[in-house]
Amino acid sequence: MTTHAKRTILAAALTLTLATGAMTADARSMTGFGSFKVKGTYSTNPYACLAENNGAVVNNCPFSVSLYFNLPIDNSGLHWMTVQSFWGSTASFSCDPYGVSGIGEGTTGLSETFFATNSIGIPFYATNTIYPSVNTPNGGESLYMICWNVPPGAGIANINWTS
Amino acid sequence: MSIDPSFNRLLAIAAGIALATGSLSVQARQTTGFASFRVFNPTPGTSPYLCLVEQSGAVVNNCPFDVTLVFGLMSDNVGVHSITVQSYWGSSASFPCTPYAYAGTGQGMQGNAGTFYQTNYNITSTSTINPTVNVAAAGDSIQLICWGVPPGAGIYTINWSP
Repeated sequence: MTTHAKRTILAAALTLTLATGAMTADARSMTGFGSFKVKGTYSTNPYACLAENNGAVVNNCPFSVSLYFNLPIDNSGLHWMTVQSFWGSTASFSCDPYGVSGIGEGTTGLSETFFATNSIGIPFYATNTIYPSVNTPNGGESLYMICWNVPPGAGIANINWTS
Repeated sequence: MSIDPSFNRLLAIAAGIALATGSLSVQARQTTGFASFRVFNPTPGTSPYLCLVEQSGAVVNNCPFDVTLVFGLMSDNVGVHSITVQSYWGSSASFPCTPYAYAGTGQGMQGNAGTFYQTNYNITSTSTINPTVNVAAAGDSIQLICWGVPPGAGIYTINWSP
């Protein structure tokens, strides 16, 4: 077999590998409703008034609720997130990502805030998007995100992250 | 055609890398019903989370009323996702499950639903349905909604292509 033929076959194998995703950035997606839990304790049960709307978790409670989102990962390193807010609200609240090793300490990543002012000029029924990020330097660490004090009427529609 | 040993080694290494990085592995993801369920918009005055119980991984409706359950299915890829859903083995109740894909903008893309029928099976054995849904764009997310799960019924496991 000639060197040229070998190179051609290897190039084809590499192309196949790329096409099947082995070398692409691993992105993972989950709805807000599919991944949330309530963070903190409340005198009234928030699970009774956190509603589903086309995948979004929406706070229909008359009080703010902090929401925890579990984001399973496969790799160490920097993880980028794309978080879409519920399209039916322009409320302001912040989301913080955390990387934890399971021994009681963790890394707080880059916090991002949905600002009500972001929606100026944007139709009411449009999502806002934020891009938090966090580093999990060691294998076996876990990733989660907390959106603090999500106001009544607000919520999280969709989360995408590098795994 | 003769292939020299060094080229065989190169191909073996390439295949090893491909397998190690997952490109040639079978793409499947699995969860129990109890680990992944959420309650869909409970009727005011009811607390379904207090009467949905775990049994060997299954989420079982021990409430005296129907409960609609939502299961988030993490997705990594665009395209058609095949889903296998096993019902709780202790009931022969009938109810449908529908998959949806969402872009996070308020519109859902409904997939092909499946329905557990009473006549499909005997009590003490699970029944299986195979819904499918298409994820049109990168970043879209999948949910499976099992509508009106009757008292005594539930979901055992869910398997899907991510």
